[in-house]
Parts: sequence; C-alpha cells; structure tokens
Amino acid sequence: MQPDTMSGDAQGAVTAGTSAGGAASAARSHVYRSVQRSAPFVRIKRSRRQFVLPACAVFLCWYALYVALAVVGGDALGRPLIGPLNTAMVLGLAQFASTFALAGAYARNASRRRDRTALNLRWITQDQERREAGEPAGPVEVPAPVEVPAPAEGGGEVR
Amino acid sequence: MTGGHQPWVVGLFLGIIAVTLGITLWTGRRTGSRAEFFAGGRTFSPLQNGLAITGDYLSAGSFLGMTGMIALAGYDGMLYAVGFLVAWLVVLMLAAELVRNCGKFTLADVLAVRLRERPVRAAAGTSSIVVALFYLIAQMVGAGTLVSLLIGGGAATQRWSIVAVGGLMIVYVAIGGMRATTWIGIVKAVVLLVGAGGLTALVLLRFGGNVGELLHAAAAGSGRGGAFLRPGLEYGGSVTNRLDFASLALALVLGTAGLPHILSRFYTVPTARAARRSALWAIWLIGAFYLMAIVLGFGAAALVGSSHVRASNAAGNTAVPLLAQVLGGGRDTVTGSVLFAVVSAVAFATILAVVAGLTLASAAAFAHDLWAAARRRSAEEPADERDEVRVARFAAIGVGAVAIALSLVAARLNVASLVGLAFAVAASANVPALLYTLFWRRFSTRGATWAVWGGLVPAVGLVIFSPVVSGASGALFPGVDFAWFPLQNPGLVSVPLGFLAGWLGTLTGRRDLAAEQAHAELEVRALTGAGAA
Repeated sequence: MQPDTMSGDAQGAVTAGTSAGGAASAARSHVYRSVQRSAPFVRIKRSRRQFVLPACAVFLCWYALYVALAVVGGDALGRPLIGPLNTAMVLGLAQFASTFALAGAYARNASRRRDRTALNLRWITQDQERREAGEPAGPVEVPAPVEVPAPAEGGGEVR
Repeated sequence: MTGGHQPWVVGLFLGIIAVTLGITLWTGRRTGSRAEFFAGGRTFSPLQNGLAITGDYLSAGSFLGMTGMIALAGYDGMLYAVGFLVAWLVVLMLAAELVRNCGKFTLADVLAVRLRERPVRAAAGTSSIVVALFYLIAQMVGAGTLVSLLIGGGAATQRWSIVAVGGLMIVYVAIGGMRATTWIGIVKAVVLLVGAGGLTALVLLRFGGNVGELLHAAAAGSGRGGAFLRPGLEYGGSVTNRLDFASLALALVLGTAGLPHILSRFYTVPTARAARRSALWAIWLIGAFYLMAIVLGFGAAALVGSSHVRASNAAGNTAVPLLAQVLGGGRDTVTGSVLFAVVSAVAFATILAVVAGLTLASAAAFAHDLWAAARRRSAEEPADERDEVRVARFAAIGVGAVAIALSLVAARLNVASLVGLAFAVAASANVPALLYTLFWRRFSTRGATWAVWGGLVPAVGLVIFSPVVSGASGALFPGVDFAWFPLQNPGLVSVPLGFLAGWLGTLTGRRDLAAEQAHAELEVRALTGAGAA
C-alpha cells in the first residue's frame, strides 16, 4: 500500500484556473516572465535544447533511414554481415542499441546538468508567486532577477 | 482446438480474473478525490510506474500479434518492434517530464495552461476518447479471438468473451480508478516479462544458445528460406504496400506520445524527475520484451513451422501458445498442456490490463475535459471534485458499453492493423497540438482546435474510405466497396495534415496575445515544475 501524502490537488491549487483575469493573474504572469528571463532559467533551457534538438534529429533520421532501407533495400539486406546475422538483422539490433544508449544519455544529461537548478527555480518561483498573491493590487515592483543560491545539500535527490 | 489444455486454461483464466478483482476491491476503498481516482494519489515510484507503463503498452498486439507476424513473415514483424521502441525516445525527451509538470490528469490539461479552456478541452478530450476507442476495439477483438481459439465454441464464444472482458474493465475502472489500474498493470507486466523470459530461455536452450542455428532453423521452418530473414515478405511488392509500411512507421514513432493512457501514467508519480525515470524503466523493460519477442517469433517459425501456425490462425495470433506447447513436449503431454495454458493466461492478463488503462483514460477525458469544461460557466468556478469522479465512473460504464458494441461489429478485423489505426489517430490529432503548445510561442487557441480537428477528421475519414472498412476480403464490410484511399494506415497523409492545420490555423487567425503571454508560464512550469500538481 502506498503511503498517503498530500493530495496533489491541494498542492496545485495555487495555480489552478490558469486563464483567470484580474490583478492576481497579472501578478502571476509577471512572476513567470521574470523567471523566464532569469539567467539560471535561460541556462537550463539552453542546456536542454542543446541536447534534445540534435538527439531528436539524429534518432528520427536514423529511424527514417532504417525504414527507407527496409522498404527499398531488398535483397542487399540479406547478405551476411556479422557471424550468423545478415545486414537487416544488424540494422534492427542497432536500432535497439541506439535507443537504449540515447535514453540513458538523456537521463544522465538531465540529472547532471539541470535537475538541481530546475528544482531551485521551482521553489523560488512558487515563493514569489505566493508573495505576489498576498500583496494588494497595485503597481508591482519588478522582482530582483532570480539567482540560484549555492546548493545547500548534496545529492539533489528529490522525492 | 481442443485437447488436454482446456481445464488448465479455464482454471488459470478464472484465477487471473479473481486476482484482478481482488486488487480492484483492495484498492477501491479510497477513490473519492480526483488525484486518487485519476492519478492513483501520485505516489507511485518510478519503477512501479515504469512497470505499469510496460503493462499498459505491451498489448495483445505485441505478445500475440507481433510474434505471430514474425513467425509468418519473418523480418517484417521485427519492423513493428523497432517502431514501437524508438517511439519511446519521443516520449522521453519531448513529453514525459513536460506533461507531468504542466498537467494534472489529461492531455488537454497541458493545452489549457496557455490556451482558452473550453475549445481545447472539447477538441483534445474528443480525440483522446476516439484514440482510446480504436485501441480498445483492437484489444477486445483480440480477447475474443484468443478465448474462442483456446476453449472452442467459435463465434458465440468470441462474442461472449468480448462482453465479459468489457464488463471486467468497467468494474476495474469504475470501482478501483487509477490505483487499481496501475497495480493490475504492474502485476501483468511482471507476469508477462517472466513468462516471455522463461519461454525465451527454453527456445535458446533448444538451440544450445546458438542464435545462428535458431535463425537457420527459422528460415527452414518458414518454407521461405533466406527471404524470411530480410524485409519484404509482408510489406514488399507493390508500391502501395511499401507506402503502407512507411505510413505505419510514421504513426508508430509519433503516435506513442499522443496515447492518452500512456500520458496519464506520468501523473501517477510525484515529480517530473520521477516521470523521466519511469519512462527510462519503461524503455529498458519494453526493449527487453521486444528482444525476447523476436526470439519467440523466430522460435515459433523454427519449432512449430509457419504453415502449422497459419493453419491454427491465419493472422498467426496463436504462434506463441503453440510454441509453448511444443517446448513443453507436445499437445498430448501434461507439460505441453500446462505451458500452453500458462502462456494463454499471460496473454489474457495482458489484454485485461491494457483495456483497464484505456477505459480509465477515456473516462478521465470525458469527465475532466468534456463534462467539466462544458459545465463550467467561468474559469474561476471549478467543477466539484466529487461530481467529476462520479461522472468518470459513469463514463467508464458508457465507454465500456460503446466499446463492447463496436467490438462486436468489428470482430472480424485484424488486431494489429487496428492498433496501427489508434497510433495514427493519436499521431495526427494529439501530437501536433501537444508539441506546438509546448514549443511554439505564437501557437493560438484557434491553431490548437484546427490542429486537433484537422488531424482527427482526416485520420478517421481516411480509415472509413480505406480497405480496412470496405472493398477487401478482410474488411469490415467486405460486400460493398466505397474505398478510394489505398492505404490501410492513414498516418502518412493525416499526420502532416494535423501539423499543417495547426500551423495554418495559427497564422491565419488574429494573434492570440493571451496565449503568447501564457507561454512564459507554460515554459517555466514545464522546465522547473513550479506549481505542478
């Protein structure tokens, strides 16, 4: 049996009703825009894009090539290549291998390069949001650019 | 087909039904809140969720259909496995974490973060239900075929098993919600992986661990020689046939990221990091299963023989049970009968877990997207939680009834091609809207509705005018011929149409400034998890 934790709904209530009008919504979108422009956010966004874009391009092209070869390759794929395996078999198994390798590489990249910063940003964003929501409507001060404090505890493991 | 296996089969099937109903009753005691009913409380671990994803993803189409296709058409069956697996890279990198961070229960939640709620929920909710229905029909038709093959009785048994499976899935979902569905998926995944692993070991032992010898024997047993081990037996020949395969390949690789029952699995874990790790577990487990399935397919060709497999079922769906019988010592031995029955029971459990996940996903799309959005007067007045769960329980009954009725009509269709259709509809209607919402700042509400309807209508329309429905011997209505679209799978046309419609709908409309501003919120939430449910 799973341990009972806080209901997900209660946690998400802060941001429910996303298309809400009024000052509260304006303040919130203000918070999000300032976080979006902050240096740490730009860093994780760029780091993610630097991995995901080329990785997707590579595996989608490699898969398209495989499909194209299977459709038009014909008898050439029947030639023995490695031991008992012919070219078609080796290509198919290589698709399996590349999928495993790329999935592992992505997960490692994400947890080493981005997880900790992303988590810090999450708390900062939620904190600012709560503060803005507590303030009465009116001209809102531009929040200071978000800076991520040095990681306090090691590991960065979040459960 | 009768023989010594019958009492074993009936006993094991009843055992599986008893275990799954037990899980349902045990978990069904607390399903009052939405987070409980739709997301199982969001407290599953990555490994548990990875197993449950494996359980939801590996359908009868994989265990019976794909292995049967390998046993009959050799290498071309393996093409399916590659497409089904590579698709997970799209899910892992472009969907899993971002969906977990932005949404609560359904795909439409993600769109609603930055677009106007009612039109996008109406569109994405409808397309999710359509995808789930196509997939459900495939599974239930498969269940009917399987049971009637195993215990005899022909068309009558097939009809009654469709009704029985439909009834069971309604009970699982309406009473147990996501928690029961997840645990059934976990149990099924373990049973399936252990069963497939054991059989694979037996096949490899038969050939002394020599893969070359296995392939050699498979080529010989197929009666096709070397052609069996390279592409072309199923998807070779005419240009139409080859295009059909390309269409299927496109649908498989993109469609997984738009399957509603797969996306909703990511809401059952606490964080995006856990969502990523569960997707990673799923990739290992699904990949390992497909490698074993390839061995089993070639093993069936080698040890049972393709002609014998085809004689039992023209589509090859009984290849693995027959292989188990041979490995156990033949149909007149006790071990042969027991192995046959065990493998059949594994297949039955596989079907039950998948239909439960699909029914839950469509019930969630109905209650959380269609019903809640239609009833909601203003965005500030959320629907009552309890009401939504109650509606979802009734929606499960309704969806189940519709699925039973459609499956009875579609009982003669090929299971694998039906699954391909579900992927094609998902790739055409759901995936363009999801990717544009996440990654294109300018994307508007109008663009989203165009993307969903502009993918859904062509995908379903082309199926209606395809050889699946009329004009071919295996069609739904073989007597009439109104088919003008040559391909079985519409993906090659409808997926680009979905992307094109979303692009056109956005650029031809007025700029949606609210949606563009809200993209900042979506992006921050997606990448950091701020405000995640």
